[in-house]
Amino acid sequence: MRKYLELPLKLFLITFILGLILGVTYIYTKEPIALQTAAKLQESRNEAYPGCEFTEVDEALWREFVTEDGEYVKEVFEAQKDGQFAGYVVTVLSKGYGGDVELIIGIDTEGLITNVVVGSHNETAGLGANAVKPEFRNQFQGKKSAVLKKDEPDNAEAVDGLTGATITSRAVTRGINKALGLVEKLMEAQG
Amino acid sequence: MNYRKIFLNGITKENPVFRLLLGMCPTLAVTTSATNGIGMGLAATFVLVGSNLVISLIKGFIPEKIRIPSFIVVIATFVTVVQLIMQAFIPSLYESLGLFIPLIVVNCIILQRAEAFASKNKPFASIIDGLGMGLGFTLAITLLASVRELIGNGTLFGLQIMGAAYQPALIFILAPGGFIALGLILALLNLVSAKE
Repeated sequence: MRKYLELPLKLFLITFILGLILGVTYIYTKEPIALQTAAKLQESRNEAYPGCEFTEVDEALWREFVTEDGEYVKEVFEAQKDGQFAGYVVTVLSKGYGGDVELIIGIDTEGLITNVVVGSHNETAGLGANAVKPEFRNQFQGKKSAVLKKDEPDNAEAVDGLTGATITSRAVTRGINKALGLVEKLMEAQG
Repeated sequence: MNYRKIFLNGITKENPVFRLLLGMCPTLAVTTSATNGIGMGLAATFVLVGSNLVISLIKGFIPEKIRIPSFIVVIATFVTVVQLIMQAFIPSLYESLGLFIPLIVVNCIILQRAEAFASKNKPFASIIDGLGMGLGFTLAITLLASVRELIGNGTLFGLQIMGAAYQPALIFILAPGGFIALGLILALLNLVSAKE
């Protein structure tokens, strides 16, 4: 009988101690990790719309303009250049091949894309993961919509998709178009 | 125990990928580019050395009958702690290796070394074994990844190797190509070792 008590007790002890170690590590790393994440997002916004100051737009002000279908709009920031309103930076989660693809999209007052940054994602290395490369992302600069040559070959705005990663490419364009649609409505509402 | 022999064992005679055929999951999943291969290999080596050391240190406390669940809990905890610390204090390293860390928990090489070596040997020998096995794993998957990247994408470590006229055989960086490339390399190695 003692033998049968000993094993579960020892296993409990092992998991308990390891759980404590894990808990303590989590507490001590929580704040630095939050700071790192915030700093990284700030960096992404700076890349999406360079030379701007950002202030977060209250969700209540824009949520009504978003249609809930697939892509999820996470945050909207107002961009200001030299104290002047310059547009928006929108963070969108779009369904890719391996889960959500985080996109940070800068849009100026004309409704043109300033730049697109691909944040955290889980796309296939060597294929979909190439979406983070500037050669792909920079194609969207100055465009007012995002379409792939593969889908609309005659559209002058169309860009090259990623080789072997159509699902990822479409996730990016859908996410961008979602952000563009939102910003258009937001600017209309604000006059 | 001869440390040099322990170290070399993991690289050649008992190479985890090419000889023991362990850790096939990460081997096939991440070897789409040579850079990935090195990243995964180094992250796994780091965890392997750490978990071997921890297991070897506490082997006296762990009852024989519950050693497997204990090893798994130790490894999973170690990996998570490493991930959190890396994310908090060495973000640049986390950015390049972070992607591979959750995959390491399910890497059976680490459990196998805990079971076959660290639980029976002294801490220092276990560290050496972890290093040897880790480097063997790194070399093997970097080689496999180089072959796949070169044929499937015409590049090596992201640099264009094949001429512009080369039409990449995309299948090699897709999943089936992983099996094909691994099979070909294994056949080649078996051919060489059969002749010896």
